[in-house]
Amino acid sequence: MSDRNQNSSQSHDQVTPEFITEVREQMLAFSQLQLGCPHLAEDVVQEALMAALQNDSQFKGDSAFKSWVFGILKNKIVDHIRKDSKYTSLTALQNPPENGEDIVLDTLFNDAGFWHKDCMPSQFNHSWSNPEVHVQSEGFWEVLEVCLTNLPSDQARAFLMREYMELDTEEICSEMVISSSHYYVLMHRARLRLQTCLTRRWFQVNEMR
Amino acid sequence: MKNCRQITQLASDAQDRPLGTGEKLQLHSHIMMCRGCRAFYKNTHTLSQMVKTMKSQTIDSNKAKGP
Repeated sequence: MSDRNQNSSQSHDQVTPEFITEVREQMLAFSQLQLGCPHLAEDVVQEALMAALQNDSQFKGDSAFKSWVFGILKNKIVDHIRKDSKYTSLTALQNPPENGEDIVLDTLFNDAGFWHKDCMPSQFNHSWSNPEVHVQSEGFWEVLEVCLTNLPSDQARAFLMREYMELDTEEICSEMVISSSHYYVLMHRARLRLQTCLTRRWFQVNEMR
Repeated sequence: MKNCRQITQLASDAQDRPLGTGEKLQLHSHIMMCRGCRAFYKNTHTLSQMVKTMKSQTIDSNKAKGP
């Protein structure tokens, strides 16, 4: 391998400073969303990055490094939520969950509550949940990330705590200071938005040809 | 009879809590007839698996990109 080709990513073993800066931005956005407090988010990201960089020689390529560091970040955030729920509940109160209707729902269903004909989600090919088949399809994971980023923040928090961090309903409700029925409403909206987003941005484009 | 908006709420709930017998009946008799809600119900499960797959890619991509 040539020493000059430091920026050609993928093939080099060491993660570049530019790449770390980029990942750091994404980590900040993610933990700010989860913790609601910029200072706290900053601290947690710093801790996660330090821990990851101590081991970065193990990683072949940028995407492995990114998954690794996000894994550490996730654990740090969960620790924080469990340990210091009093503090995070206070910050959650400053950003109360949206009340009332989600406009997207009105674009999906008519007044009687039935699907608008061209707004139904397409049925996803089930093989997408199989890691063996789709490890290489990086484009898809980017689209999923974009769809997650586009969710309203309270829906994104609820959805990620449930599906990514695998917390239970009780923990999520006490962290977000919401009732369980409000939580179920947020999850419903998040899933409708995500399915609509994936249908339009991926499945209609890539699998319907 | 529940409409699609209410049925998709039940389909989403089914991922997070056990449904009552009446709720199950309403959900399953509706999705037998309705393509949109059937897709939503199945996708909800697939979506959950996708997130788990996304999470587990650390190990897999590390292996795949080995020398």
